[in-house]
Amino acid sequence: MISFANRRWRNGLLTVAAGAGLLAWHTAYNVSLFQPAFLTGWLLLSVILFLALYNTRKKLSMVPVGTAASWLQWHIYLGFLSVLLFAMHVDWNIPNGLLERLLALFFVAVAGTGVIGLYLSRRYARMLTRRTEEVVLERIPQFIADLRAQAEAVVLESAENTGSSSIADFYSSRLAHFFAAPRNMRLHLQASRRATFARQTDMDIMTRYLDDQEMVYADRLRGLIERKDRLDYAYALQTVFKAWLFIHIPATYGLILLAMLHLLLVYSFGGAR
Amino acid sequence: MSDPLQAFGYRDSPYIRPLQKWVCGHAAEGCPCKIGPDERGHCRGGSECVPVRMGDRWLCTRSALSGGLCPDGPSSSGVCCQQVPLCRPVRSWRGRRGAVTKWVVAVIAALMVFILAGSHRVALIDPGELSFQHAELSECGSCHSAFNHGLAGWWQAAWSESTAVDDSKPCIACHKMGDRGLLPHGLPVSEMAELSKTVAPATAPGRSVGVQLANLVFDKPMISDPSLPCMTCHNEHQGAEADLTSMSDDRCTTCHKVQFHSLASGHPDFADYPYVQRTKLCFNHTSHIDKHFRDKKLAKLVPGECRDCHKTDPNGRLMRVKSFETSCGACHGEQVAGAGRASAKGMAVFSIPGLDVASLRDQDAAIGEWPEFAEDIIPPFMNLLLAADPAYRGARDVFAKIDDPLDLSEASEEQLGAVETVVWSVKSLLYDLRVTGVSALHARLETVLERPLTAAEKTTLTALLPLATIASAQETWFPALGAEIPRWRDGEKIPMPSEDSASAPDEGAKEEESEEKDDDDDDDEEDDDEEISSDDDDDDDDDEDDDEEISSDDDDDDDEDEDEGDGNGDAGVMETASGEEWHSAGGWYRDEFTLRYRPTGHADGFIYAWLNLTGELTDKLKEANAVFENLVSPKSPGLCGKCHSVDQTAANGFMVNWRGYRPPDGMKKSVHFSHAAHFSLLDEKGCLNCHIRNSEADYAGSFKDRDPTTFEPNFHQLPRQVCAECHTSAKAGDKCLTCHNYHLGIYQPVVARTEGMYKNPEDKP
Repeated sequence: MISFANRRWRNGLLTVAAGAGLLAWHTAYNVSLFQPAFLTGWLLLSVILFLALYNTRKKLSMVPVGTAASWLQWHIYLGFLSVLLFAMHVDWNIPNGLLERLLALFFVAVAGTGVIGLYLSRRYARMLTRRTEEVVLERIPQFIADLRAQAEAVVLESAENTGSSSIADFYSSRLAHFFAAPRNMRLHLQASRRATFARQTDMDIMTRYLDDQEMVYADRLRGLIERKDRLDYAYALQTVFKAWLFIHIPATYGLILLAMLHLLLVYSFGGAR
Repeated sequence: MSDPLQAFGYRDSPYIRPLQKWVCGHAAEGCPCKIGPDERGHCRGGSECVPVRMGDRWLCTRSALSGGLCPDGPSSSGVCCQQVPLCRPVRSWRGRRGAVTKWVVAVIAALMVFILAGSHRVALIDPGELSFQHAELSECGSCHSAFNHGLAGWWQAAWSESTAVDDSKPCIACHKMGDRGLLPHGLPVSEMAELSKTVAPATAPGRSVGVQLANLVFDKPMISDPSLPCMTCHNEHQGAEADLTSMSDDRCTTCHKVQFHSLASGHPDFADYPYVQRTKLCFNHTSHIDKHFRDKKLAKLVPGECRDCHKTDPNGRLMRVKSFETSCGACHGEQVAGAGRASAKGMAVFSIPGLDVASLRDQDAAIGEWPEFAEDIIPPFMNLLLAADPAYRGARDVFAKIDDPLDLSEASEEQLGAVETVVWSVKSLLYDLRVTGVSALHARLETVLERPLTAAEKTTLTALLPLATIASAQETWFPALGAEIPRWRDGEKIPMPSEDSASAPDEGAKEEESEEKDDDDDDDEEDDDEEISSDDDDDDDDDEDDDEEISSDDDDDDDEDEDEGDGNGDAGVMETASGEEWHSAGGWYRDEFTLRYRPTGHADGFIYAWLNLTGELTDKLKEANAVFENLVSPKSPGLCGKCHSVDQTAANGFMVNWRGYRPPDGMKKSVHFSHAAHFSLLDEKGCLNCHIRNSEADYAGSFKDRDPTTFEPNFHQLPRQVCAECHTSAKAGDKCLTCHNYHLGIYQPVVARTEGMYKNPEDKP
C-alpha cells in the first residue's frame, strides 16, 4: 500500500504534468488562431461537473464506481487543475461583465473553500485526534447535557454530604454558564488554552479553602470541567470542519447553473469555432 | 482517563446515518428519543416502543439499546408505558447544508430568469465595456446578429456554425473590407497560394515552442479555412483602453511557411523592399548626383539635402517627392516650356498634307484648290479627328501606302481616288471647325471615342483654340473653302483651279511664311523628327546641350533668329515675332501649313488631357495609340515622357504616372514604415544609412518596357541588419505588427452615410 506522502508526491506530480500539458495545448490552440477560451471553458465545465459528482458518489455508496477515497483524490487534484483552467479561461484577468464576475466569484468561492476544506481536513483531523475523543458533532450537545447533569449532581451531593456551599457557590457563579452550552469557540479555533487555564486557576483558588471531604467532590468536578473543555474543543473544530461545506457545495451548484447560462450566451454571441 | 463519552458498539450507541436530515429535538437536552424524527422532520415520539400483540397479550419491544424490556410492560390496551414527550426536531448539519444549497440554487435560478427575461437584461449579460473606438455602439444587435431575435434566436444562434462569421459581417460593413474582408490577409485564396510560393527563406532556423506545438498538433490550420472571423484576433468587451489590434507573433508565425524567431534572428532578408515597384517618376539619382549636381554652373541650384526634394506625407510615413516647381523647376522649368529646344517648340495638331498639285491638276483631280507648297504629313491628332469621317477611314490605308504624295505622276486610279477623299476630309474638317467652332472637334472626338466628352475634356482637349488662328489658317490655305465645301457636299465635282489663279494664295502664304520662319527651322524640325524616330543615343547628349543652354542663357540659334528678324525689318511694316516666339508662354499658332500648340509649361492641360484620353484607348484605337506615342515620346514638346513613367494597365492601355507614388487613402500594404519616426536616429550619413546608392544600376533602362514591376533601383537592397540593430524585443520592439499590416488592401475610414439626409422627410428644414 502506498504511503500518504508518496501518494501525495505521485498525485502532485501528475497534476503538475497535466497542468503543463494543458498550458502547452492552450498555447498551441491559441497560436493556431482558434479561440482558446472555448477549449478551456469546456474543459473547465467538464472538470467542475466531475468534481460535483463526488458529492453524489458519496450518497450512492452502493454503486461500484471506485472507492470514496479514490474519488476524493481525484476531487482534490482535479480541483487544483481546475484553478489553472479557470485562470487560463479568464486569461489571467478579472472578467469585465457582471455575469462573468458573478461566475468568477462563485468559482473562487468553490475553489477557495475547497482549498480551505483540504487544509482543515489535514490539520483539524490531527488536532482532534490529539486532544479529544471521537464524538459525532450532532451528539455533542447531548454529551454536554450529560456532563452538565453530572456536574450538578456532584454539586448537590457535595452540599448534602459536607454541609458546605463552597462548591455549589463556585458552580453557580463560575461553572453554570460554562456547562450550559459549547463555549470558547474562538479560543479553541485559535488553539488557545487561556480559558481552560483560567478555570483551573479559579478551581485552584477555590480548593485552598476546602476540606478533605470537599476536595473529593472538587476533584470530580475538575474532571468534568476537563471533559467539557475537550468537548468544546471538538465542537469548535468540527463545526468549522463542517461549515466550509456550507459554501463549497451550494456555490458549486450555483456555479454550474450560471455556467449553463454563460454557455448559452457565449455560443449565441461569442461565435464558437 | 474517564469513560468515553460516546460508545460505538451497535448495542451501545444508536446509529446516526450520514444522510439523516433531522435529529431529535431532545438531543440538546441529553435525552434524545431512540426513534428519532422521520424523513420530513416530524417527531415520531410518544412512547419508547411499539408493543406487539402475542395472542391475548401485549409485549414490550423496547430495544436493548434503550434498556430492553421495561419492567411494567404495555398496558392492557397495548399502549407503551414509557411515554416520551414530543419534540420539535432540528435539522442535522447535512440537512441544514442541503437547505442552504436549495436556497442558493433557487436564488440563482430566479436570477437567471431575471437576467434572461428582465428589462435589465443587457446590463446583466454585458460581458464588459467596449473599447473606446466602439463606445458609441450601445445596441448589442449592432454587432450580434441574433441579439434582437429573442431567446429562441439566441438558442438557434448557439447551435449555428456561422454565428462567428455572421457577427463579423457588421464589422466589415463598417470597416469596408469588402467581400474578402474575412479571408486571411484579405487576399483571394489563389493569391495567397501564389504569394506562398515566392516567400524568401528564413536566414536562420528557429521557432517558438508554441509554434512547434501548434504545427505538430494542428499543422497550419488556417490555410484551408476560407474565412477568419474578426473575433479570432480582435477581442472586444475588454474595456475602453483595450488594444484590439494586439496580437502575438506566434499567431502570425504559425500559419506562415517561413518560421523564425525574430527580425534579428531568422527573418528573411528584404528581397526588394522598399524598391518593390518602379518609381512613378523617372528620376535618376545616379546621373543627377554623379553628373549634373557636380556641374559647377549648377552649383547654386543643387539641392543641399534629401529633404529639398522629398517630404513626408501627413502621416510621416512615406517620403513623397515635392512639387515640380520645388524639386525640378529650377533646372527644368523652362525646358519643359520649350526653351532651348532646337526643333519646333509646338506640336503639330493640324497640317495640310503635301501633295503633287501639278500632277493632280494634269489628271483633272476634283479636289478644288490645294496649297502647292504644303509639304507636311497628316499629324496623329488630325488623323484621329479625321477618323470620325467614314470616307477618310476607307481611303486612309490606300493613301498611306503612297510612297511619296508629293509625286503622284504615276499614281493609280485608286490612289488618286484616295487622295481626293483625303483632301475633302481635310477640307471638311477645317470647314466645320471654321463654321461650327470647337464643337466640331468635340463631335468628331465623340464619334471616334463612341462616348460623350465631359465638360473638362471639352475644355482641355481643345485648349481654348482661338477663332482668329483658325480663320487665318483657312483664309491663307483655302481662301475659297467657304464656296467649295457646300458645292462639294451638294455632289458637285470641284475641279482644281488653273495654275495661274491658284498661285496667288500659295505665294501669299509663302511670303507670310517666310516672315514667320526661315528655312533653317524647317530643317531643324525634320532633323528632330528623324532624331525622335531613330531613338539615337546622341539625343541624350543633345538634351544635355539643351540643359546647358538653359543654364547658360547661351542660345546661338535664338540669337540667329533675332538677327534674322532684324534683317527682315521694314520701315513700313510693324515688326512681329514669329508665332512660336510670340507664344512663348504657350498656345496655338500657325507655322506655314501647320497649326501648332506650344505647351504652357509644366502640367500643361492640353497634353495632360490628350495623354490620359489616348492612353486608355491605345489597344482599341490605333489613331489614339499614334497620338499617345507621339506625345509620350521623350522628345515631344512638353517632355512629359522624359520623367513621367508609363504603365501598362490591366485593360491593355497605358497610364501616365503624373505624380510620384501616393498610395490611395486607406491603403494598407504588407509593410508600414514611418520615416518621420526615424529622422532623429540618423547620423552624419543621413538617409544613406538605409538608402545605399547603387551607381551601377541601369535605372533608366527599367522604364522602357512600361511594366511597373520591372525595376532596377538606384539603391542597393536595404540591409535587414540596419533595422535589426534597434528593432529587438529589448529595444524598439520586434513584433510582427511593428512593421507589418495584417489586413492588406484599401480600407476607408468609417464615415456616416448620407442617404438619410435626403431620404427622411422629417429631416427637411
